[in-house]
Amino acid sequence: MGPNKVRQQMETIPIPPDLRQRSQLGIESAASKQQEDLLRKRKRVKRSIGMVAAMLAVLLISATFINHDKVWAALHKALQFIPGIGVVSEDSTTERYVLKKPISLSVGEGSIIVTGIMSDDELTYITMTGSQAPRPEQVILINERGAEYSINGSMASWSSTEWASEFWYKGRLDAVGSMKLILPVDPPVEVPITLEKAETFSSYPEMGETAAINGVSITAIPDRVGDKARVSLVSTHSEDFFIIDYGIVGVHMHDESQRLNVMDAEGQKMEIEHIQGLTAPEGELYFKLSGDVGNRYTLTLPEISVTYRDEVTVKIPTEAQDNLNQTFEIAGFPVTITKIERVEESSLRVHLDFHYDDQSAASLYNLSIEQSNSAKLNERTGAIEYIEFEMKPGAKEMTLKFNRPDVVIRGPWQFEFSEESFKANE
Amino acid sequence: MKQVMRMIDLVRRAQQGDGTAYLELFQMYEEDLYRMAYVYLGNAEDALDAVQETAYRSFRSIAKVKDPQYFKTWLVKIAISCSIDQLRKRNKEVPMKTEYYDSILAVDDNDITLTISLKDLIESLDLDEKHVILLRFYYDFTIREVTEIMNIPLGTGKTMLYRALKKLRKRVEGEDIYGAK
Repeated sequence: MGPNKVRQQMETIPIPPDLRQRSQLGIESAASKQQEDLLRKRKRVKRSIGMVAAMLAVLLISATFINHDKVWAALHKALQFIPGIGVVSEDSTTERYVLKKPISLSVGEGSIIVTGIMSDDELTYITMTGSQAPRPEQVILINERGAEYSINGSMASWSSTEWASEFWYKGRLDAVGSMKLILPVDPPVEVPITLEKAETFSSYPEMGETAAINGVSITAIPDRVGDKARVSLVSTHSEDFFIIDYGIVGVHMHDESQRLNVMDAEGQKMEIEHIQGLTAPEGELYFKLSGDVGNRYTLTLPEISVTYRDEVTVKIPTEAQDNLNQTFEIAGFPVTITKIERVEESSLRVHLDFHYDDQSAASLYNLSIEQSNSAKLNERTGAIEYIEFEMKPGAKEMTLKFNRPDVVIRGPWQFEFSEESFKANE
Repeated sequence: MKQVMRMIDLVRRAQQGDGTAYLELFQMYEEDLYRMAYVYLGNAEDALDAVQETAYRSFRSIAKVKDPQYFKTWLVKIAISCSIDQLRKRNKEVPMKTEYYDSILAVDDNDITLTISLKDLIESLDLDEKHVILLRFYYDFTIREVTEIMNIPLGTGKTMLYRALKKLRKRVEGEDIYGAK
């Protein structure tokens, strides 16, 4: 039998007209589920640092754990902070123009916020979020000389009501002076924009107050948008991990007191707003200023969450075992498989002990495996107690690949601001 | 080559969460995936469900694709698994539908052993044999690649392929004798 016969017969199967729509439905549901996970399970869309580095030359500094000196030494270089996009570029020799304040637009029943724009000799990069508003697939930028550039979307995530998108243009487009940004949605939105030259700093502390604890140096950059304070968080740390949360949403099940908070001088907790963009971690927060010149604010990050770039492969038996006590290490944290249970005929429940310790500098609380699985989390610590997944029928042992270990690193990182701090860049 | 580069670019973008890029990528394969699902499931509605589920599962786990060159292989594996799940679900609930009977076509080939029909593909082969036949002859994977996708030893895969081909030949000969369609 020739292979063409199978193909010939297969090709007699008519393609239904709604095939395309069904594919789209599947992808949209996945994107929507992803958004739900973001909100409900406090997980983040994790973007490859490699891509960010390639596009924006993000500064990444290696630092050994709890070695402040090295971190500080590496920080004393010329730096540019890109507001709204939340990155720091080490290459300050390039003339770079940025959108200093976000722009909020009313579109139909909803709103779109242009959260950040950065433009230099090599690229122009725009970030936006939307709520109950149409999502543009591309935007048009018209510069002062009237030259028109179509800038395509490079990344997007969306649910039925919210979306976040990024657009980038490779090459120079002279984004100086008074320009127009057109969002070709229905009806089209035209917004005047002016970019300003990015400020150059010689160190992170020059950008804002900086605190280094347990190998993570965090800088809080104060700014003012209307009557609100904006604080942008940037950090430097080892390349072994990336930060997924500054504690804005917090580790699942951890006490509310472990979340990032801002208190005024009287110890009143300020209400914090944040914009959910595409990239993790969310590094921008807003709170309403009192207007009282003498007021002071304390920003506290009790703990942050990071994901290590590490994975480990472990072979486990598929027979039930009560006292297995098989220990492996991931990202330097020990994990003990204490027990294996058979649940129904084809599911395996693997009990794990992460040796979670509230008093230590850092604790592992989550792991991923390649198989689809469900997990039970400890109600207080959020650490996995067991994972359950389908096993291959008849197999005597299974190979599990554990990866993406999520770790909570404890601070606190604390920053003091006066009301005046938020006027500096106005 | 250009298409491969485009595919790799789309995989990378999809891995960064770009749903539009993933839709473009998925649509390069959706017709093949649909037809394959149809052979497993035998009717259009179930096959569409399987494609939708494949789109859902694959976009959820696109970040796991380490080498975008093998995206197609990875996607086909997910599609097979979705079809099997659909089959399990369906077998519990409803009997096999028979709408495909009408789509049997004669192949204008004098060599009877080279003549197969869609009905043969759907009815005479068991699941593993369908995997091996579709992967080998519809997707043009080598037998080694087929066995890697199916996670079985090479020898087992060869035996399965031989058995499947033998079944198809026998069936076609049988139909000829009894004057079946």
